Amino acid sequence: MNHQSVLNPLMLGSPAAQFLMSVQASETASAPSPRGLGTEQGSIQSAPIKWAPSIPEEQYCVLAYLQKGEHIVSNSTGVFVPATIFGQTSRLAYRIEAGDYGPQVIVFDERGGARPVQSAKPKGNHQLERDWLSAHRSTHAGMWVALSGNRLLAAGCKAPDVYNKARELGIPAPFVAFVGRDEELPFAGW
Amino acid sequence: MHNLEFGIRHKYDDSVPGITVPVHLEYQGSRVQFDAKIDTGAELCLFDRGYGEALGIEIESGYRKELRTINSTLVAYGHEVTLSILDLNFDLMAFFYEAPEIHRNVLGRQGWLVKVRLGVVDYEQLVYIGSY
Repeated sequence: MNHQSVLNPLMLGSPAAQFLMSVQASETASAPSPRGLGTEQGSIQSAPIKWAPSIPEEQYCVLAYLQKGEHIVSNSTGVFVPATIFGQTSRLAYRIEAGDYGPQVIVFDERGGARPVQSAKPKGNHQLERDWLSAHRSTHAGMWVALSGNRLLAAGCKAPDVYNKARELGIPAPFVAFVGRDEELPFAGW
Repeated sequence: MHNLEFGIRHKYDDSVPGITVPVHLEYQGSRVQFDAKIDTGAELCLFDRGYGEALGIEIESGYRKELRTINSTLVAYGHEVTLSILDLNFDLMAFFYEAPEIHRNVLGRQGWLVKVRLGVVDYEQLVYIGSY
């Protein structure tokens, strides 16, 4: 099984995130692309591990997206991925491709065969955003919010202000929603 | 026996009311993403005016339309936009509510439903969409 993961920005933004794996940008066998937009790829060699608690294997199958240049570090040396995501001994590869929110780094575990793991939460369905809205309805009720996955970009009383703030952060087409107080009630129809 | 073919199958979230699909709305190069409900009972595609304002649309400058609801009436204004739903693109007149307190986004017949073939298997939370 090819454990393919597109990482969650919030996971990497946590204080506990440890950047322990060095990625050497080099040609490698192409892994199946979930989106067919691959523009750049490379392999990852594990660096000496200082601390890296492993995560349950089933979590490898959960897809999430990293924003290049934000929580994953990409520079001339390579790409640095928090070992908290894949554990200490994984052999990783990465691919940079165009995404809804700009360039994205997709990291995957090369262990096993070639069959890609299917996402439980397909891309582009706003599931992460809906999860955020559900979790924060009480604290943001009556406000407009702009989200990138489960990350809050902006919040305010006016949709244009929130939208423009998200655009200023480099998100060309942000997800924007009004956080209603009664969204959980069934709709009666027109 | 009748058979239909669809290019898109989408599993929708049954934890929120309605059949919800992700949409992109574009107007003069500006784009915004949000969720909308498929509503075969709605004549038009109706969106929160906040999205129109965010895209730079002067809502009241559009085509004014008075609409009947289950127990009242409302006013919305139509503007030409591009709507993308699950990789299908539609140029249509979308309507934005005059009232800022209405936040329900619906995909109705004119402009959208008339341009697609639609299948729903609600027991499995699956919606099938194909261009007509």
